Amino acid sequence: MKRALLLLLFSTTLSFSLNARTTPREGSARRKGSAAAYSTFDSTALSMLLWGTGLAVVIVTAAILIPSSSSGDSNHSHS
Amino acid sequence: MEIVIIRTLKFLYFLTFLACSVCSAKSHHFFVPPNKWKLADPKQLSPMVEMCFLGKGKTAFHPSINIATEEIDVSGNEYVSIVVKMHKDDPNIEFRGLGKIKTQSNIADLFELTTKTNFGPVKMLQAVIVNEHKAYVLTGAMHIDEFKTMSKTILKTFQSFQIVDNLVNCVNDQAKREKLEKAIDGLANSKSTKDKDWKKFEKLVLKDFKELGEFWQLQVMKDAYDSYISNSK
Repeated sequence: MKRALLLLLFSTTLSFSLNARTTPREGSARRKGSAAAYSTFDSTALSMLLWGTGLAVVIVTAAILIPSSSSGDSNHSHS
Repeated sequence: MEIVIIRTLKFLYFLTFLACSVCSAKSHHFFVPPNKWKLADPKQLSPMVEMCFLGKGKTAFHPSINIATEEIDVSGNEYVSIVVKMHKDDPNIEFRGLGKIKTQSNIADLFELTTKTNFGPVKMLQAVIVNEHKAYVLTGAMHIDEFKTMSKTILKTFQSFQIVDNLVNCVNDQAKREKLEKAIDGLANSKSTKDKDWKKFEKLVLKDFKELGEFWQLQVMKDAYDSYISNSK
């Protein structure tokens, strides 16, 4: 009984420490500062579109909610 | 001895459960966009850019404000240094640090970026906020001729930025807050956004909570949708 409990405690500790080690490594693979780069790009790119392309909140709600309920895919037009 | 080990284990599991609950608690963020600015089509946004609002300027270049977020594994200072270096290395951008700006939730680093576009020179104000391994980047762009007036509007929007655990608690008026909570509870039996209860809830959010802005309104609706409608499918 004691051995089983110690084994359980050991495996829990091990899984937590492994998880803590893998997360930063995965994050490092991505280029940091991407959010700032995309935000900068979109601030000028979208501003050059016609103002009439702005949408009402109810339309955007539908645009956000409908794809999330039907498909996880999203295609972006930027290259 | 065995009892002590069992008690220790129980305590450890309780602590783990508590830590997981705290870490997984969903937080929300929003800013109050300028009055009458319109939402940009979400399909046009780059990855990581969550929302963009477009204003009506005096030139062909329309002012805009957007927000992008990313999970980070570096400190706030390191992230800011990376962003500064990125801008300084960009030959098309003239960079200037403007110090700090206080938002509703955090202190942000503020930058001014100048670039050339087909519509003439453009200035951007960018605020970078780092909170709990997440970076929030707010960028406002305007034609250089409108900088004097438009920059105030952009900065006011940056200052309205907040990170909250509960969106409903942002409603200061108790009666209105209770009305909203009741409408959200009323969604328990809703199965789609075509249901009567959802329509009633949507109308309430859009009509009675204009002061919190469209960003907040969208978040409240999305949160309710995720909690009730998508779970019922």
